[in-house]
Formats: sequence, C-alpha cells, structure tokens
Amino acid sequence: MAALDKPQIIIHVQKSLNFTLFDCRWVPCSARLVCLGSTARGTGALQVYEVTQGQLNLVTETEKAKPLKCATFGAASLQQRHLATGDFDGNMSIWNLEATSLPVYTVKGHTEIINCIDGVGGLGVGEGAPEIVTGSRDGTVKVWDPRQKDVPVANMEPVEGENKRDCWTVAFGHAHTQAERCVCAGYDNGDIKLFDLRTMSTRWETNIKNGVCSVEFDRRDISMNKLVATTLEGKFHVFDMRTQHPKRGFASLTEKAHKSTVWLVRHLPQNRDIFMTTGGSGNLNLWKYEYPAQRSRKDDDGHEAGVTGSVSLLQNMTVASQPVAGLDWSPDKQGLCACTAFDQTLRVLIVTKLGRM
Amino acid sequence: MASAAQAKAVELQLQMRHNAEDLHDFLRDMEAWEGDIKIRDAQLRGAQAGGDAASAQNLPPVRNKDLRRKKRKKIDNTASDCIENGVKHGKSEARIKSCDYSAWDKFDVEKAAAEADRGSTPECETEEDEDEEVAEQKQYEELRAKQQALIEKDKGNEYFKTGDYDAANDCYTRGMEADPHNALLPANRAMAFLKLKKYELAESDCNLAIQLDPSYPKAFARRGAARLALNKLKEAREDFEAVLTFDPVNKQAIAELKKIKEMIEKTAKSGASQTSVTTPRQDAAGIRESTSVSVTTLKPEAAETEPSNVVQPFTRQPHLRSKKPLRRMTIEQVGSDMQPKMVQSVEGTGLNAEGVHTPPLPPQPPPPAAQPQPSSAGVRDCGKEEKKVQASVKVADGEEAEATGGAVVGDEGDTRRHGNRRVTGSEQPGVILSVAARDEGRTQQRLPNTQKGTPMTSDLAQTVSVPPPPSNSFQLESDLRQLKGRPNLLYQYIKQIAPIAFPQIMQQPLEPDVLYKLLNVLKESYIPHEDKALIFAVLHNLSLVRRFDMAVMFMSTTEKAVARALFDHIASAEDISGASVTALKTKYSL
Repeated sequence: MAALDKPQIIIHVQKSLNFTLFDCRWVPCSARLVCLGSTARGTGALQVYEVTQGQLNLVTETEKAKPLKCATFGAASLQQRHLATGDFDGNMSIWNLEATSLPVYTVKGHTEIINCIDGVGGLGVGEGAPEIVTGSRDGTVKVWDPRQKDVPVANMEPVEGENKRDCWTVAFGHAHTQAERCVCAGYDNGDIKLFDLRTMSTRWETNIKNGVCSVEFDRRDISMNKLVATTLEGKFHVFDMRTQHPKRGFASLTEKAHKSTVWLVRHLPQNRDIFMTTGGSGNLNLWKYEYPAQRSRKDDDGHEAGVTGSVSLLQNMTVASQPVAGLDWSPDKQGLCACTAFDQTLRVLIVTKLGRM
Repeated sequence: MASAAQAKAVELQLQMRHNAEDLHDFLRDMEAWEGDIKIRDAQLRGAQAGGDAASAQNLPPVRNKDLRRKKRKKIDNTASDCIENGVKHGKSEARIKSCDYSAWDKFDVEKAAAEADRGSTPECETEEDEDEEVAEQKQYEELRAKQQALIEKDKGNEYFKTGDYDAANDCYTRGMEADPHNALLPANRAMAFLKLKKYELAESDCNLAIQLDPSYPKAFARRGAARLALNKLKEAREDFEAVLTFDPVNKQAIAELKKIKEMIEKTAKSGASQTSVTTPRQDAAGIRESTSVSVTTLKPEAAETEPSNVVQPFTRQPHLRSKKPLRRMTIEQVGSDMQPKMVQSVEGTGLNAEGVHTPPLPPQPPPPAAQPQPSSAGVRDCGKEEKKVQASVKVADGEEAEATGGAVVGDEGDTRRHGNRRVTGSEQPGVILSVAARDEGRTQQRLPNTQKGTPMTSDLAQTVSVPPPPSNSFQLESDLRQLKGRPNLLYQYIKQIAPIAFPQIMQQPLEPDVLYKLLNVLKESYIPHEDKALIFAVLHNLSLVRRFDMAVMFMSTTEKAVARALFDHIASAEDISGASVTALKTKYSL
C-alpha cells in the first residue's frame, strides 16, 4: 500500500481523570461519551463528556456504590438511549442518562464481578427483542430482556461438576431475523463457545490455548460473517463464520498483533473489514481483513469448509503507557473513536482516510 | 543514488502535506458534524418523554417465557426431592445397632439433635430467602416508582415553563400516583392550579404538601397565595408568617404580608366591625370567575350595614299584621363550626355562602319606616337555588307559630329582614333551640317508621332541613359540615345520594375527613336501618373516588375501627360474595 493512503491515528483530545477507567462508550446520535470505572475509595464512577471544538467537557457525573466494569448501548432504543452496565458486585443495571440517581432496571445477575456486557436489538439495528448478555467470573453467561424482571431469558453455565471458568468476554451476533441470535463467549482458559439462542444449544466450541480477552463479530445484525478473538499472549484469531464444517468447525487465521496482551478488538461501524486491536503496552493497531477469492471449498468428503483471507496492518500507534482497556468507535462519525487506558486518561482519537480504504 | 534519496524526500514531504490536509479536512468536517449531531441529540432528548411507547410495539415476545415457568416448577420439585433425600440420608447414617454399646457410648446426642433440627429447617430457610427476595423486589419497585415520579415532575416543570398548565397538572397527577409521599408534586401542582386560578384546589394541594412535608416553605407560600386569592386574609397571613420562620428574608412573603396588612386595615376602617373574611363559593368546576369579589371591592353599602348578627325587635299593631297564613322559617345556626363570615351582597355572580338556604325574595314594597332600612346584608343572591329553597320552607300552623315566636314571621316582607340573620343575643334563640332539641328527639323516635325513603319534609319541627343531594364535592363538604352533630339529618342527607353517584359528585380528590364522616354515618345510621347490600354499594362506590387510596392512608386507628365495624357487618350478607368484600376490604387497607 502506498504510504500516501495510510490512515493516521491522531490524538484529538485527552483528559486525565481521577479514577480508574474500565470502559467508554459513545452515546448514540450525539457528540457525548460515557466513561465508567472505579474510584480510589472503591465506588463506581459514571461520567458523561461532550466533545466540543477540541475539548472534552464534563456534562454529568454520578457515583455508584460498586465499581462499574463494562457498559453498552446495544439494547437501547434511539429514543431512550439507556445505558446498560455491569458492576463488580454482579449487578446488571440500566440507566437513564438524564436521571442517573436510580436505575431504570436492575438485577443482581451474578454472584461475582461482571466482566463483560453486550447488547443487541436496540438503536434501530438488527432484528428482534432488545437483549443484553453479561459474562461473569462466576462462570455463567446470562441473557437479559429489559422487559422481564429479575430472571434471565437464557442462562449458560458450566455443567454441574465442571470447573467454572472466568468468562472474560461476550458478544452478540447473527441477529439478522427475529428468531436467530447467537452469543459468543470467551473464557480465561482459551475456550470460545458459541451459543445459539434460537435452539438454546451450544453451536460450536473451540480452544485457542490462551485466555480469550475479547471477542467481537464484525456485525451483530447480519448473518454471521467474521469473528475476531484476541488472546493473552499477543495474538488474535479471525474466524470465518460463514461456513461451518461439521468436524473442523470454522476456518481461522492467527496473527501476532502486539508484544503483550491484546485487550480488545473493535470493528469500525462504517466498514466491517477494518478493526482496531488494543495492546497491553498502550498501543493501538488498525487492521484490514482481505477476503479470499473463494470463501469456501468442498473437501474430500464433500463438506463445505471455510477459507480464510488475510489481514494487513494499516497503522499502529502508541497512545498510552498502560494497557488500553476500553475503546469505542463513534457510530455516527467515521474515524472518530474514544479510548480509555489504565493511565487514568480518556482520549478521543481521530483516524483519517478510513473512507478511502 | 542521490536522485533516489531526493525522490524519497519529496515523497515524504508530499505525504506530510497530504496528511496535514487530511487532518485539516477532518477537523473542519467534524466541527460541522458536532453542530448537526448536537441538534439531533437535543431533539432526541426532547422527544424522550413521549416516544417510548411507540417503539415498544412490534417487538417479539420475551424469549423462553413459557419455558421459564416450567423450569421453575421443576426446580421446586427437585428442591423438595433434595430435602426429602437429605432427611432420609441422615436417618440411615445415624442408625446404630442396638447391641453396639461402644458406638452408643460415642454417640453425641446433642449433635444428633442439632442435625435433626437442621434437617427439618431447609424448607423454612428457602421460604425466608423468598421473602427476602420479595422484599427486595418491593424495594426496587418503590425506587422505580419514585424515579418515575421525579421524571413526571421534571416533565411537568417543562410544561409549566411553556405555560401549558393543564399538561403540567396531568404530569404532576401521574407523579403523585406513582409516589404519593413526595411533597414536591402536590406543591408544584398547586402552583399550576394557582396559575389556572383554581385557588381552592391549589389550597387543598398545598395542605397535602404541608401534611407530607411540614418544613417545605414553598408549600406555605403557595397556600398563602391561594388563600389570599380566596380572601382568607388571616390564614394567608399565617401562611406567609410561616414562610418567614423558614426563610426570614423571603421578599415575596414580606411583600405579601404587607399587602395583607393593608387590606385588613382597609376593611377595618371601612366600618365592618365584625370579622371581615369572606369565602366566596366556587362554582361547580371549582374555577373562580374573574368577577370574584375581593375585600377591597366590597360595595360600600355592604360594608356600612350594621352588624348583621343582631335581630332587631319589631312590633306591629294587630290590625296591621298580615292576614296571610304563617310560614315557617328555617333558622340555622351559622358560625358555630365555621369561620365567621361577613355576609355580603354579591349580585348576579351566582355566588352563594356555604349551605345557607334563604327564602326567595319576591319584589316587595319597602317595609315600615320604623325599621332600619333593610340592607342588602343578609340577603344572598339565590336565583339558582330558588327551587330547593322553597322546599325547605315549611308552612306552619298557627300554634306552631306561637310556640316559635319571633322565628315565625308574618309576611314575606318581614322574612326579608329576619330571614337568615344570625340569631344571637336575643331571647328567641333559646326558645327555638329548645324546640329544635325537642323536635329532634321526636324525629329520632319516629325514625324507624319513616325510614323507608319518606323524606321528612312534613316534619315541621325540623329547624334545619335536609339539603338536597349535592352536585359537587364542595357542596357535599359544606353540607356535611352544616349537618355536623345531627346524625338523623346526616343519614337522610346521605341516603338521598345514590351510591353510584359518589364518584360523579366527588370530582375533586377525596378529603380524608369527608371519607371519615361518611363512614361514620354509614356505621351510625345505615347499620341499624339499611340492608347490607346498600352499605356495600356505598363503600364500593366510595372506593372509586379520586385519591381514595390517599384518604385511606391518612385514616387513624379509630377511623379504621369504624370501617372495620362496617365490614364486619356486611360480611354476613348472603347476596354479596365474600371475595368482593375482601377485595374491597383491601382497598380500605384493612
């Protein structure tokens, strides 16, 4: 690729905060973003900032009893834009950002910390009911419907007697009709499980030998296309989810991305083949996936098997001295993204030339 | 070699320039985007209040809803199985052969007993857990309701700012339903009522707010404003003084107090030596017309009249007396339980002092000159009420007339003078009151015979007639006040009201004391005289009145005892199903 076409990653604004940041999310249809984390005295912090002409202005600030680990707008309607959060105590809560004193919905869903959360069915994207999935250290993955109080609509837990593995990441996908919907979960022992919510069964599982830090479908609202899973020791895997071989499952490629843990993967909302990975040393890598000429071929037994393409690094950039644990692309403005690192700094980044990729 | 290096340098420069341009473009683009998106954001935020319901439709049902129910049953079953197994298991372990003495020596009886106890408790524990869960749920529910109330309040405030007071009222009302303990909501609604010039409603809302939070100065200030508008100067003054105790430098309160002081002085100067607080009656909708009379606009003649509570003696030669048959006048005691009123003439406004019925006033020639000019004091405009007033005027025979002396007047011209003046300080009231007492005794004796719906209009001894059935809650309230301490009349009065009519009459929120009065009547008079189905019907219809649950909440233990007695009474009725009685009972929070 010509050097001229390389996207640049530029820090637009950065703001040092006085609490540990775990996650940040753009409020849909706005120039506001929510960041959350844990204060020094062990309480939860929830702040809303607005980007105004190269500045981050604090809009609202709330303190909660327990540190907040993760958040999503995925299940919220555009009218309401309620934020779903998971906290250290296992509570899943939904907040109205206009009145954060009390949650709109709250449930003690897990006995231990909720590591990860994802939502689907909101924002006018995808089909079906609004649902939120949470993964926790207690080994369970639960799916919640904000219309149903107290009990999850689906609960995926290890079989009695099996070890409970820490679930580090969950992601929704395959929500292309009202009935179809999949949840993918990654565990600390390298397990990746794909649950089919329509049939209420495990559709596929694999082990990538290293703790799975983050999984994400390239799109939640289409028939499964690609899945990226990042691992503890610096590699990430890209699975082609179009063709499932009865024995070998989904075809995948592995790429060494960082010299340290790959904390996160986030696909660009405006282009599903471009994604960013964040590293344990504070660097960001921007990748592009190239499809192969043929996405599947018949093997000797006559079964269809997937064919992987290739990934190329578009740009890398070190933005922080500590791991980048939270990153979110703005759904409304291509190339705008926000990230939080453990150096207690919130950054708004600009990635240029994405439109020309 | 050199040219290659040069080419590279040029390319690098070009790239840098490109990048700078790109970034510049992006930033400029972003500035425009920021502006656009903020507008959209604000629109969405504004629409947030309304557009929730529409999007909730077209959604598929909650996943696995039926499965969950089945599962729960299954879990219940397995749980009970576990318990049984546990008990069995424990038994088999504890089994020691009777001949194994050494084992029996080691046997720890206490431990076994403790284990036995434990074996029997798990069920209770799970129940406790469930109770806790339910309690937690309730807590959340309450929190949610409170949150909802706050949201409604904010929405209401928004409407209020835009001047849409009716919409604001609706919001506040919804908020009050969600959280009846929040003093802010009634206080805010009172403000909206003030703006709508519904002063009585504003006052009652302020009363509620003060009941909920007696340390909320704004509620006092608003009540003061409402009372000022209702011409209750003294009470208004008290309210503003209360505001000053919370906030000694409140400018509004100081200004209003000054104004009230001036007004009071003015009325005092204008010659009205008696207490000069008037309460104009509102019309059915509770809206005070802008023509309402304030003290400052009092007509001079009204103010100048001599005290209306003095009955002037009069004499007339027998031959001058009227030859017309005597008519009985209703004489009422006014002011024993109400605040003193200055009788005032209000012409053509349809205003009418509470519950006082006066005879119609046909045009009459002026009375004899010996009498002081009958002023308009004591005369109410009663055009609308002519009919019912006539009903309450009884024609008495001569004997009765002699017995009641001055209360019975010879002709209509005299009626005008003596009609409804307060009877105090003369020798007549004693006579009348004793008569009244005697007659009441008689009506009580007679009651069992006449109870079946015969109105006692023919009972000439009745000094206070039963008012006609009320058409709105204000009338009901004032009638109740008027009939206080006359259980028979109260009974007849309430009896006139069809049970179904209660929710219709009481368009205004139900006041706790009204409810209590009604319940008391039911208990005192309905239980002995009426059948249970009617009592049930009345109780049921009362429960449909607005803000009934609030009134129930304020019931004291004695008041609850009254309600309980009623329910005990109707519980034995055959024609009412037990379920409906218990359902109603829960409504009365018994």
